[in-house]
Amino acid sequence: MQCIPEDLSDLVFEMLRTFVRDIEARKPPLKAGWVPLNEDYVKKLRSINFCEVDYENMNGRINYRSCMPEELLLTDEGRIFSEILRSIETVQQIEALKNNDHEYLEAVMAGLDEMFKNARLSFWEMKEGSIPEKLHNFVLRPRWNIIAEKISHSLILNLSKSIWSMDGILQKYEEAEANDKSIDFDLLRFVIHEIEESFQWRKIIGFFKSNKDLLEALGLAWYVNQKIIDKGIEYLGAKLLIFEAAMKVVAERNGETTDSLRDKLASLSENLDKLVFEEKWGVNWNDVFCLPY
Amino acid sequence: MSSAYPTRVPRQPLRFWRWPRREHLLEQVFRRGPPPFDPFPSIQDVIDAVLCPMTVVHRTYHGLHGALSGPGEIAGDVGNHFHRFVSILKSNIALGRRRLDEAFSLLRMYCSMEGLDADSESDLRRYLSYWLRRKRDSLNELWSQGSRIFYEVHVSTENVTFGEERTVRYPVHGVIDEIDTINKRIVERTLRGNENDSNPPFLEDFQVWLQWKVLTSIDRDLFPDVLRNENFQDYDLIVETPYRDFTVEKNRSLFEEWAEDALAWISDIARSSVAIGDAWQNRGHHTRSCSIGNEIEECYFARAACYHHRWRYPERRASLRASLKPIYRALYNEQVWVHDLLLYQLTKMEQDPDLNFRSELRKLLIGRNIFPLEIEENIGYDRYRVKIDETVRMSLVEEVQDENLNFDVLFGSFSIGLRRRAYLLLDEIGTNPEDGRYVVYIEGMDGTEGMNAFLLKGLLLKEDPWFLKRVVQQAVFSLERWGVDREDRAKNHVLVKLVDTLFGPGTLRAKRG
Repeated sequence: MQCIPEDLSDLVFEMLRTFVRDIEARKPPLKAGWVPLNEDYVKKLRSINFCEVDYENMNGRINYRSCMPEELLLTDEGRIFSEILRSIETVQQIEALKNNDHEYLEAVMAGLDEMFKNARLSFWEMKEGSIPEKLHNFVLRPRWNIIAEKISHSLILNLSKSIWSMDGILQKYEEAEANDKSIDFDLLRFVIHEIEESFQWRKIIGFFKSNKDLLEALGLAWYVNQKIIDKGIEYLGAKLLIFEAAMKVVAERNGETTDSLRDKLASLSENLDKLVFEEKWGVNWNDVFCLPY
Repeated sequence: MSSAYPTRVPRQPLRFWRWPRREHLLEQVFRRGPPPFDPFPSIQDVIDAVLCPMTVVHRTYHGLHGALSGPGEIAGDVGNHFHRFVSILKSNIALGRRRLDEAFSLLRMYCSMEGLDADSESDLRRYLSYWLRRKRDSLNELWSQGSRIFYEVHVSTENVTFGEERTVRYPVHGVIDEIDTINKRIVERTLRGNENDSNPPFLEDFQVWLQWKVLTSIDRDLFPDVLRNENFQDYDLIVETPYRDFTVEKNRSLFEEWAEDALAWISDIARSSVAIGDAWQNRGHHTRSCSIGNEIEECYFARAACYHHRWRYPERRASLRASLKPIYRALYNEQVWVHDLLLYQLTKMEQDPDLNFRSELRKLLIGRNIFPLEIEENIGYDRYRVKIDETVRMSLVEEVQDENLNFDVLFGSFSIGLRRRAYLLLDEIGTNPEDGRYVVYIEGMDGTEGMNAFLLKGLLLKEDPWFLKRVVQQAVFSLERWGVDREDRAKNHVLVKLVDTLFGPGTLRAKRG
């Protein structure tokens, strides 16, 4: 690697790895990445401008605020290091949502919208013929995926209105729905009516009314997932830093511990199953209300 | 200053295992979404989870398994061939068919029949030389003793418990390399390790201990006659490398804790993806942490899956990866609904305390998943004439149609039996499906005389290819990790362009539907 003197190469890579390991061990960035140096290394490090040295303690590290050579960033360690930096930046943005009600709910709504867009909306029935025939035929249409997106949109509006009063935020979602004329609306309304009026949908709304924290956690998880994708973060350790920050924000806003929120999320699938266990047909709600990872 | 990184924190032990409900087992419930019960783990799954909880994530989502058996110094399948050859050699000596000095000519024949290349044969010869140096006396003593050593013994339990005060029961199934009723030993044979090692290879001691735990948790009534009177509590547990035999102590409280911890990870990760974060935070073994640059050397997944090479292109890999997530999960759900549920059904068919329920399961499975048979005649060259149970012969005809089929055949019971591969030879004279008679090729039948036998559908048979789901998971994961570094190649690479277009931002992004 031309950008680093050969005798410093191992040290620089170790610094990158140590930074990643320290951040993953939840050290604050200011304390992360320091490795012990001898005098020889201290002298040699003067020849490169992206490291910093603590002369008092004879430690050195990559200066994560400085520009690093592109060649170094294209190595495996370099890529992971820069993904960790991007995740630290995202964590700060997520933490800022904690004290801003409007932005927080907007993020939750955007995330829920994303979650519903990705929902499979697949159906089940206890016995053949339990699903209303018109709905059954509709589900088997070739363009079902596109229609499912519209249905998802309507369901998320319905759910959000039932749980939060946030007219300003919902307005854009309502307008988007009203402007869409691309499909047979009578039929679409019928399907949405069948789902929304079904007893199980009311149970779902009831469940999330008393577990708003879960819905917020799902929404924020999908919201940060979109950020992760946009920022091209692939390293699992970097992604988990962001998801963890999102869970922390939701837990703190709801006055609970992150552990208890995570426990509730872990049993979400089972609890949704219990709600619809006695129904004759239904949507696979487990495939709708799920985490993005 | 960097601190030492902590090794994994013990997982909260499970309060209960999530067993499938009666209506699931009797298939009275529509199979949908995430199964509301835990998978039926294999011994291999538990060992992987002891090695690192992230292996459970890779097993669940990416179809990877056997973290300790990845490509290393030992090329390809040499380990399996070594074990198979040793079992053939020992059987031949025990039955008085071959003498020890014929070992290498027998190996030549074996390699020729298996179509092994020169490198593999040379590896096998080398390992066999080491092994024979220390085994001459015991092999000479084995001469004409008869079939009293059993190889590839399949075990399955729903009753194994760990720790004296714990009452949680777990299901585990797997295969024991060797049960030696002459020397009263359970043997785990491996090619891992070196000549000068003073300890067994990493986790091999745990493996043989777990096999013994599973074996001793099975009700004696389910054992074939030849094994029923053995006292396995007194058996020695041996890890056998080509260079040395290691005796493993049975009373290991640490192993009890590891097993319980591993099963908690398996259950938690199957239950919810929330546990993935915990698994990553606790990656590594109880005594050896794993982090970038300090990976566990023996773990094949560390480099292949956790810290794999990051290609520069395609650039929209994060988006691709996000789109693949539901596919992984759906494929996993299908495996559990099909394969793991069948393992529960087969085990409960023999072990459930409710006799009526066992009978209901038997009615459901016999003729659909299992086909009892009787060996009528040995016609030489590992071929046998068998007769399928009268009540299910037409069901098998429907399954077989006009094709030759590979089956698993079990001698004994599903809970404890000798597992062999059977190949139905439909074109042979003597095969008459309507009459329930088939000529079948079965390798390594020695020692199975007088045992119940049945063909198993659903484990290997192509009609029910649960394992293909795993292969698809692996292929999807390969795509996720695939890429190129050179810009000039990426610019003209169709797949790179396709991924970046399909998963790119803006107008080029493909719409669903």
